[in-house]
Amino acid sequence: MKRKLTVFPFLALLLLACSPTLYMPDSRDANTQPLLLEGRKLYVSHCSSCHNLHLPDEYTAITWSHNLDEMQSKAKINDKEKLLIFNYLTSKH
Amino acid sequence: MMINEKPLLIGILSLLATDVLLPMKYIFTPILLILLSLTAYSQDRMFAYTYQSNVLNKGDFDFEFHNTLSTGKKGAYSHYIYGQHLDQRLEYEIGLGKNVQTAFYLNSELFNFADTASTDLNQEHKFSFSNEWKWKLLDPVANRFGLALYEEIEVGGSNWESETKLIIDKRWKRDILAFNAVKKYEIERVVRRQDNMTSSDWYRNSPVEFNLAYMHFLRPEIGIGMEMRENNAIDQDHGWINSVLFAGVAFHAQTGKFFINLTALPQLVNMHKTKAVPGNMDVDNFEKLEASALIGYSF
Repeated sequence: MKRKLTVFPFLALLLLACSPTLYMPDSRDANTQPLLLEGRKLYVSHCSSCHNLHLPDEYTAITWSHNLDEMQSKAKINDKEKLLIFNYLTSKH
Repeated sequence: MMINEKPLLIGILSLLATDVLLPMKYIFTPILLILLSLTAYSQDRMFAYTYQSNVLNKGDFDFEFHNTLSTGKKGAYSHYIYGQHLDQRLEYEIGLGKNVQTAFYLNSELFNFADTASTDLNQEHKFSFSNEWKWKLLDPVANRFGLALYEEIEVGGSNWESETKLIIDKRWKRDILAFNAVKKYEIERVVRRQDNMTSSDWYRNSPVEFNLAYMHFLRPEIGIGMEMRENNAIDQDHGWINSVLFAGVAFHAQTGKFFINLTALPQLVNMHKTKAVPGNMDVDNFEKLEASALIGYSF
């Protein structure tokens, strides 16, 4: 019985091996990596507590700019932080 | 024992026309019509049974109308009587921010049951109220996997239930995989009828469920996949007594702020064969088929 019950938890453990869907800037972006990492950190910390995160390629750069303008006051981010988030979200466009 | 299909058909038809259900129609239909007249959506569910770690955006809320028809269980009231079970839930769900959401439910449970040798139907109708809380601990996009805790308390005239879920999921661009480990604790008054005698007992059990679901999005608004549910009955006196696996097709569609989740789960296999239940299916303790439709509107 216990053997059968391990099927589902085992499948759940497969999830643990996944990498984040929201891309992590790597060393290939050596010049911008620290700033992109900062932008990602700000995006996750300021946005995901209130709503589900969108993937960067879900919107164009123009739409991201509009979305960030609209959300700036709600997310309590200043202009510099907004730019860091924008650069991260559009760095793969 | 052969199941007479006639009461089954009569039972399903009577669920649609019964006087008992009519008041529910009067309640739910105007609400749905109001919702239809109203016009970015957010929602936290793509499946009828399996939950995801997402919570509603802060300040967002939605109405969901759940309908689950379960049928094919022979031993609903005794070994000679079987029935159908229609479970309807009207849910009001609110995103509170800080990765927390809560929801309030009005629940209606309608049992139709009959002796397999007759066409006479009896009915039992129960109402209850539920409150759920979901707390997202890890985001399914930003982290390796999403993680959430869920707790629901249900209180009714003849039952009390608590349900705790551990929710793990993963979202890719066009695919979702979700897993739930569910622990319930139920105290329920069970009515038994045999030889024209009716008796009732308070019954406690603590079933454990595992849900696994996958969905692929053909388009952003249409997804198709599957759900699996392993249902394990645990009795206080006898421990782990039954275990069955349900699996079937899941469908999700949305248009604007409306969404619908459909799942049909036939029982596939009896995973815990015993002397009492030696067959490949266990229809003495579980339904042969469960079909669920969840209709929602996000504000």
